[in-house]
Amino acid sequence: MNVASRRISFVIAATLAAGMSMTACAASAPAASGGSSEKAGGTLVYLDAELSSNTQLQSSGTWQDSAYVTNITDRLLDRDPETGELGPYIADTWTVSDDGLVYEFHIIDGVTYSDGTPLDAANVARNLEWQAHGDADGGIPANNWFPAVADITHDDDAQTVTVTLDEPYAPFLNVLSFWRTSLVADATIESSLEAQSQLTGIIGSGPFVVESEKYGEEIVLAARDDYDWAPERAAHDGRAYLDEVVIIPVTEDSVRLGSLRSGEADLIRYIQPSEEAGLEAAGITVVGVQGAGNVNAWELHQSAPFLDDARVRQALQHGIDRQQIIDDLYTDNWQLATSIVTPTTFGYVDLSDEFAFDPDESAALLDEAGWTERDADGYRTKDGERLSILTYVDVFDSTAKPLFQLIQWQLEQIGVELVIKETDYANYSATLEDPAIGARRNGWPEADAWVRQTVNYHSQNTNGFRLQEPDEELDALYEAQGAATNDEERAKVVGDIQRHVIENAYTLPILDDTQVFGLQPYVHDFTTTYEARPTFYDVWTENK
Amino acid sequence: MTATAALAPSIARRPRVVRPLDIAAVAFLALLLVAIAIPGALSPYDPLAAAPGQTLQSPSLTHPFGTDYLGRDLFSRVMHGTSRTLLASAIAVAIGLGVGTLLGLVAAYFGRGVDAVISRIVDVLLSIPGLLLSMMIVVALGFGSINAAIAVGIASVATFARLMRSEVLRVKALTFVESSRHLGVRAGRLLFHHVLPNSWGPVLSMTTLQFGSSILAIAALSFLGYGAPPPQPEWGMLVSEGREYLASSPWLTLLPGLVIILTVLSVSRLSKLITAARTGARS
Amino acid sequence: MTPLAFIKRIGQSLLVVALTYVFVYAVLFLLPGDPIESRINNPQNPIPEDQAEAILNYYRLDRPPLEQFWTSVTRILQGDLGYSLTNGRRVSDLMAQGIGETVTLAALALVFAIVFALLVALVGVFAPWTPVRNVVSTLPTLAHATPGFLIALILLQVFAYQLGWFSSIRDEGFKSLLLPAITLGIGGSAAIAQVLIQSLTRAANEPFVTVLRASGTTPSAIVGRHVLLNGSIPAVTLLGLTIGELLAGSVIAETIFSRTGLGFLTEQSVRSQDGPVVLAVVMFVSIVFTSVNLITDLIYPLIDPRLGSGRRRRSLVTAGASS
Repeated sequence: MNVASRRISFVIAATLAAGMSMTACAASAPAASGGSSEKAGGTLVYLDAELSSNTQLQSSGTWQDSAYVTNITDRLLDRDPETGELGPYIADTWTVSDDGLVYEFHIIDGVTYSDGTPLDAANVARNLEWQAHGDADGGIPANNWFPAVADITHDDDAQTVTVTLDEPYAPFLNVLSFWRTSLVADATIESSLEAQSQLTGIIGSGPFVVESEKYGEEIVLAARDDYDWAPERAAHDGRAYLDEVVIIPVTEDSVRLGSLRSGEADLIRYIQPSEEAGLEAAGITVVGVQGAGNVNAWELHQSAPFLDDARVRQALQHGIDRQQIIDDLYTDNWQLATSIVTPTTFGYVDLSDEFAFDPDESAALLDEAGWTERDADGYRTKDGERLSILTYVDVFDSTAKPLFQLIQWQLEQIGVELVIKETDYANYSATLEDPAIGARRNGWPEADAWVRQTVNYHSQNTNGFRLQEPDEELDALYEAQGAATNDEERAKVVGDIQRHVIENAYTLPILDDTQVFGLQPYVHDFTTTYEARPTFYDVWTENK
Repeated sequence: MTATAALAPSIARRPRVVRPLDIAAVAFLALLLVAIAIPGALSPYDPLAAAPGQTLQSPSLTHPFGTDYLGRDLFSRVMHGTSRTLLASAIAVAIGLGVGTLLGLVAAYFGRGVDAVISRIVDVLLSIPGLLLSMMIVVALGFGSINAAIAVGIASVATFARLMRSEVLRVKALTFVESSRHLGVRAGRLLFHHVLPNSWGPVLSMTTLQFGSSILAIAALSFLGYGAPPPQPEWGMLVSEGREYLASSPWLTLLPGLVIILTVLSVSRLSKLITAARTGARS
Repeated sequence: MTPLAFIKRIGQSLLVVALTYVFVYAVLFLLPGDPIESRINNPQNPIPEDQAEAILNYYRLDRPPLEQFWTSVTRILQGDLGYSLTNGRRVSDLMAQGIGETVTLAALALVFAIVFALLVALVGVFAPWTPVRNVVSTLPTLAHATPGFLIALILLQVFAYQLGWFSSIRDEGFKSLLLPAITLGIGGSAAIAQVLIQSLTRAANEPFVTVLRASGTTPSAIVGRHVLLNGSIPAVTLLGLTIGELLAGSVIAETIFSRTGLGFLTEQSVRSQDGPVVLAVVMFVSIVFTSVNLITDLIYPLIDPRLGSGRRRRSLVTAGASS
């Protein structure tokens, strides 16, 4: 667009921004609840299931570190965990040009980092540059969710930041709400990779600050008294209710549960499904949270023998009894998968009928595919070869081993042999390169499931389905969803992706990935983000 | 022969009375032999067959050991796991005992340079974390219980070697050894006919202990992914897996653990019976 | 041992530490897994190739192996242990924390182990009632065959959850050492007690005991001064090995009691093949074991003078024998 119209739209945006912030101010006054003084104070003892590993934003990926970073930082945009709708946060208004290339954000006033430096347009621009390009000399990669960025500019007077992309990128705003794109102080950006790998090295503007850390033993977060910029969607404003959050990693399941039960802890993460009933009977509240993202699914590798035949893959889809899996191995807090993404994901379509449990259908498909003979052990054979699929127990999922064994038994009922092998954590990625491996568990909560799928399954990227020849239709769909310029268009494309993947049975959806938390009855307003990370800002406790 | 008997005025040595516990031990081991030979004889259930809907049932008449997280009969899994477990454990102990005692014997007997080299190799072996050692061996040889057993065996070589060496040093200093050597008895004969039998007492008693702990060491490895691939049962692995269900379904850990303890106790009692019979016969 | 022999022995120990370092470095290099590769290929956050190159370059992993090895060695000699590849912390800080926790725990656990072992052995061999002797002498086997985590969880259940005397998750200083020390003490005492029982029994049956008794020495003096000392050699060896193992840290006790000692560090670093940390831990354990074995070897002649240096006996034996 030309300069004149840009200036006009800028003026409009600024006016709107001013107007909205005024109404926001007006609206927020009555929202401050009268009961907030009784909610204030207290310490929350949170037992996590794993240790903090690496908190460097672009490099790391562990779940627990993402949760900790989320609570000590803020992000440009906020996302509603139920609806996925984006809302104002550090950026109170923003515009996107019609061609989807230019994004402009207005930064709110008065935000400071815990080290006193201001979170202003200059700092935001620096953050975005750093995320977009990384720091090669410092060993820090670019944020791999970012698209190719042509230019980032900022205006100190107007407090705006403008990002210009090379090509339209529909997930961009989602990416800006994701924990990996949290805003950090200049001091953090300038520090070394090693310093940033520890939570004490992440200086954020969030409602909590790291007060102390003893590796492997505890992390103490203290509330920031001058915190005043919670997103509009939050239940209150001002500082967090809790005075302190003490995070203690307890890896031994029975100790974590025992400590909760005996009252030493207030909140824990991950409860073995078989233990839930016992905890609930003892008065503990058990909460299961399905984050948005890809479902727990077994991607089928077509490089493996027999899996390039769509009928075999479809037979496998119909051969898995997901309800039985939930009934036997999990609880009501878990859900079976109804598509390749979870229900709160943008563009989700319920396709459960397409891959419903139907062993007769499986039998028919396998017979049609020529697997009519059976060998002595009851497995189907064709031309003397047994229908056998190789997989490895997933090392990232703690419920994997029983799940894999149950599926092994279910597939045996339709005459398919599943060979399960194990390897250890360090060698897992290398081992999974083997083309003979037929199935691999994949699928995690994400800010934008479609970006992850494009990376995983586009034939020019990782080619996770190990297609011998590219599926041009699927590739085109992935590219189209990324380049979509409005929500309706994008929703239609991702709907097509889901239908395409399921019709071709490229993957076996199993469960919606779930995080299970246990809380004491005196802990209230426990919330999680769109990707199921716990947030402590609104949490309050009766136990002071 | 008890020590108080030695301290008291000497009485005529009586042949050892076979006590009821000895019979129990032998009977238990016979049961295990049956389980190795015909695992299905003692239990009608298929150890690998999941039975959805019957998961985590506590012990009852139909399932004496209860069922596991997939509804599989635990007693049946324990029975079928006997041969794999005992074989793996035997391998681990055989390697530790065989290689370790040989190293300790040679080191102490020949002394000087040989002792220095072997003792320093043993030091290196002790310094390497067992997990790393196991990882190396398993990556080199492949995953599975036998290779995990080899790893555990190699990790225990150092302990046996040190122990054997200290005992051989003690025996070597006894007068009869010195005089035999002086009289020209060949080193080999001296080693195996005189030094070895007199020095391996403590080592043998370590062996029975090692038998039990190797089952558990292999279990720790299978927990990390190095052992028998699922769904094959193996005692130590059953104990490890059951650990996650300890609060609500303790039988999953406790019953296989009890079987391990009883096995170790029975083997220990049997070995005492055998030694007593041998020394009784000799005197 | 002569001073020269002592110095030679120290030299050998240093050689052991060096060889161990080289061996473990080679093994870590040859093993296929690698924390940086795992970070790049993490399915939850895969990093594209061009960015991956920058990371590999930062960690100097694109240099030839010998150069990497040389850099590593020169740094260690200057006292720089490097940074953990998984969590970026200084290895020296991790080691300091780990060693501190482990040494205190090991010391207390050793006390418990010796006390338990002596109690069990003395009662198991010398108690006047046969049933008591029989039961007590099976205790070591029982303790050794029971999984360590079970002992730990039972102790926690009784003393922390039901009686509330201890916290299961917080560090309360000395109090927090007790339960893990008892757990490790029970486990460690088993082998020592077993060997002690066996050698005490044998020593008590040797002819010199009858002579002592005939000469009128009281049984307690016989047990205390003669039998115990003579039967102790293998027990002392085991004690040395136990000390070494305790100082190397116990993964079970540390996991269940939420401690970050060397056992925990070892397992974490080996599982992810975090080279700098593994090497630091291995070197420390190497120094511990070589020192402990050196000390035990020095103690033997003190307990049994027949194991003394060869010099005294060479005068008694002709040149045909070597010792």
